[in-house]
Amino acid sequence: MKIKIVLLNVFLLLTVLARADEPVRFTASAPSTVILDRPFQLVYTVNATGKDMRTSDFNNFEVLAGPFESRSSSYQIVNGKTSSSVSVSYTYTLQATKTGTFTIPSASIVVDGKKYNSNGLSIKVLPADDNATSKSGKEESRSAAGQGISGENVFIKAQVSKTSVYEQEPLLVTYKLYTLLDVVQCTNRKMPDFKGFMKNEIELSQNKQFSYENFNGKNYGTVVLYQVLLYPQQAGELKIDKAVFDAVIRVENRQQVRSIFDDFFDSYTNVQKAITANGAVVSVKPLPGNKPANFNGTVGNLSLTSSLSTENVKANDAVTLKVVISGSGNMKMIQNPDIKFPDGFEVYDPKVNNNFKTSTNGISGTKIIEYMFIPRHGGDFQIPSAEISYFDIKDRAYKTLRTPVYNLKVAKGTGENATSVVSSGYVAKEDLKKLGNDIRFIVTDKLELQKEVDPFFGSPLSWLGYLIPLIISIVLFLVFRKNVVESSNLDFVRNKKANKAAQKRLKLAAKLLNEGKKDLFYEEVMKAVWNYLSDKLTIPVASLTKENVSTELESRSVEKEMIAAFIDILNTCEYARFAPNSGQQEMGNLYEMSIDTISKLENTMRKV
Amino acid sequence: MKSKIILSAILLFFSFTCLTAQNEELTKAHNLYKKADYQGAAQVYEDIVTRYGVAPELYYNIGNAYYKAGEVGRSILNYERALRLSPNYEDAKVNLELAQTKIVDNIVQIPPFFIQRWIDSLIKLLDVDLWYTISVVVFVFTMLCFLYFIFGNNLIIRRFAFYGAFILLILTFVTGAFGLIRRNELQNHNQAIIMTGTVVIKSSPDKSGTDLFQLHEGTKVNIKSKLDEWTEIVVGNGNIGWLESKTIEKI
Repeated sequence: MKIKIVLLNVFLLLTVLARADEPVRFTASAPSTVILDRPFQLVYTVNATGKDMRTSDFNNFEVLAGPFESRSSSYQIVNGKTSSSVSVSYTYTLQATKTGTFTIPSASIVVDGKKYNSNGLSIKVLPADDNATSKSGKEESRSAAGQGISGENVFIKAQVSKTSVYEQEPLLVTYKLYTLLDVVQCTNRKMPDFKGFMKNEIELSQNKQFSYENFNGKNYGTVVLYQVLLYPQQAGELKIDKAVFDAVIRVENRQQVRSIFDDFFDSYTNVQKAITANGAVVSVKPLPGNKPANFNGTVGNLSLTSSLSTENVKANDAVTLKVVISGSGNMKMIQNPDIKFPDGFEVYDPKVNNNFKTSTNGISGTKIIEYMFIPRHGGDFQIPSAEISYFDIKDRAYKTLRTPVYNLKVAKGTGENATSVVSSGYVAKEDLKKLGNDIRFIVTDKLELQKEVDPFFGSPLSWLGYLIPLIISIVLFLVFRKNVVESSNLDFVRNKKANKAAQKRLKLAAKLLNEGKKDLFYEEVMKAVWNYLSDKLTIPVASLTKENVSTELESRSVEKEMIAAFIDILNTCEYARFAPNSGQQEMGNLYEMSIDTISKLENTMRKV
Repeated sequence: MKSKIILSAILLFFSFTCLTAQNEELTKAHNLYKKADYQGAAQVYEDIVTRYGVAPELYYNIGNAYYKAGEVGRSILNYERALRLSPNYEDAKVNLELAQTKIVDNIVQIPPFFIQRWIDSLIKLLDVDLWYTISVVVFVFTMLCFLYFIFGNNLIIRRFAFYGAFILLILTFVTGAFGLIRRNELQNHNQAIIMTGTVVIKSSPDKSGTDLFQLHEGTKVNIKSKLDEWTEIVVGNGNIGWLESKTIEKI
């Protein structure tokens, strides 16, 4: 028994504890649009038991009934934990007396001695239907059903938030159902393919609430069926095709014979109807031409912050550079800015954390990029700024955001020292690393400019370069030859003549030899030799003697044998003239001998 | 006499002002280049070409400016022009190689026989007029040897002179031919660079001709012949076709 009481106490205590966890919420709720002279409900809900609920005056609204207080409480046991909740609601039935937008100020309630205020509400009051003279809701729906399912009673409008946008500027397309009928279900059968756009669907809440909207003098129940954010990918007139929806409409059966139950049980049938929503045309302006180099299509409104984990670090310790891009626009297009870390840093792939929210205004959120790198060597380094460029829609201009340039002081790491100690001054050699490839720089020296001229070679005049030496050498050739003829001395000529004369003489002698005229032959040979010698030695025949011939020849270093041969020939000739018994044989020998000697002398003389 | 001095002074003054204006323009272009306004720099350089004349270095600078401005076709054209004037311009060669990595067409050139390559580089070593001068000097020596052969006294030297004259005569012809080849290279603008993004090469000088193949900006072609608005070209790998003359620019 005692245990039971304890348990109960614990149980009660737990519930109290659980209750104490939850803050008190006091909320007001009402439809955002109401129709003039049509009753609606305003509900205040508090999740605790309160007292002294006070509302201010409902101006422009007439209180038809209320407040009705209703209470609900629930217990929950989940995994042994018990929680309870109490909900008290106060319901007023109101009716608008004027059209326009009015506010219902907040109400107040006291819970546990503390005063809580509810939220205020803004309610739009629509005028009553043109044709209908203030019918009750049920009557209205019946009359509408009687009108049938026409395009006037049920239709879907596609609303485009902007019809003139820049490339990549988001626009919102809303498909909204307008109905006077009781639409049970509406599903999209065929959606346009949104060609030329990148689309981003917006999630709608699951339980769709009808709200009223006055359109063409009628109050339609409206609900948003589908919302999509579109990012035009190309300039020009882009067309959004028509969309088709399937709606299921509940229609009251109208029987000719009315049974008694009809009044109690309405019988309905579900009718399916295809509803086509209108298309639209969006004119997309191209982005201006002066795009920055690193622009990659980001359009919106961005801001950039960055931080470096530390500015003083030891070698081989990791450093993190955090770049935060926040804003709205087509955030998904943003690429990681390329940071050229100093060479010698070990850079890891950046860690990217996207936190995007899609709303009807477009995608917004933050993109956090963390660059981690490890400096491997000591020294002072500069981390260049990261850049992102985007097109600002509001200012209609390109903007470039930059992170600051960070100076990083890297002290010599312990690891680096340790290795150098161990391996006694060994330094890891690195090849000359090619960091980039670029063209060589321009020449800034003073230039000698000249009009492009044809080279001299090839012009007609240039051939004179060959012609002139040729002509000169031909002239030289001719002049030289003439000179040679002139300067070749008389001796030479006579020498030649002498030879010829001797041969002529000897020819005559040969003739005489053949005829056998002995005397004449010897005389002729002797004359020939004498004349030859006289010509050769340039001594007149008259003053020639054997003695001076031999001395002359000796002075010209003629061989002694040859001189002797000459003398011999002359002697033979002298003796033979007077010697009677010299035969044909001897004459022939002499002839041969003289020719031989003369030609020999000729050769030796020429050599000299 | 006095008037002559004045006249020469005026001429000197004019040439001087011309030179300073030219230098001013050049520094302006250099500064634009340094400030990374490459398009502007290229414009000023081009202006200098039309107004004052050319130099290999100028073409080289234009090529650099266009390269930086992203116009690969124009940069290649100007590097090639620089190399036409000065075939051994090292910087231009290096930059041209770099620019050529950015062009789309990969035409496998049939490499010339190595002897032809050697001769080619030998020809490119000297200027036209330098080759000409060498040729004429060698010719004069040829004649001297020849004359000595005819009228010389010493038999041994005469024999040498005879063979020498022959060798020198051949040398005269060779060096002369080199000069003429070099001159042909310098003057004959029969090579061109494609300037537009893509060009379709047709089989005939007519828009209705069959499409043969496609060439892209920066590719070098040899001009074979011309007909009205069309040019017949030969590509490095031996393909022949017609294209519209406005799509190419001669080196």
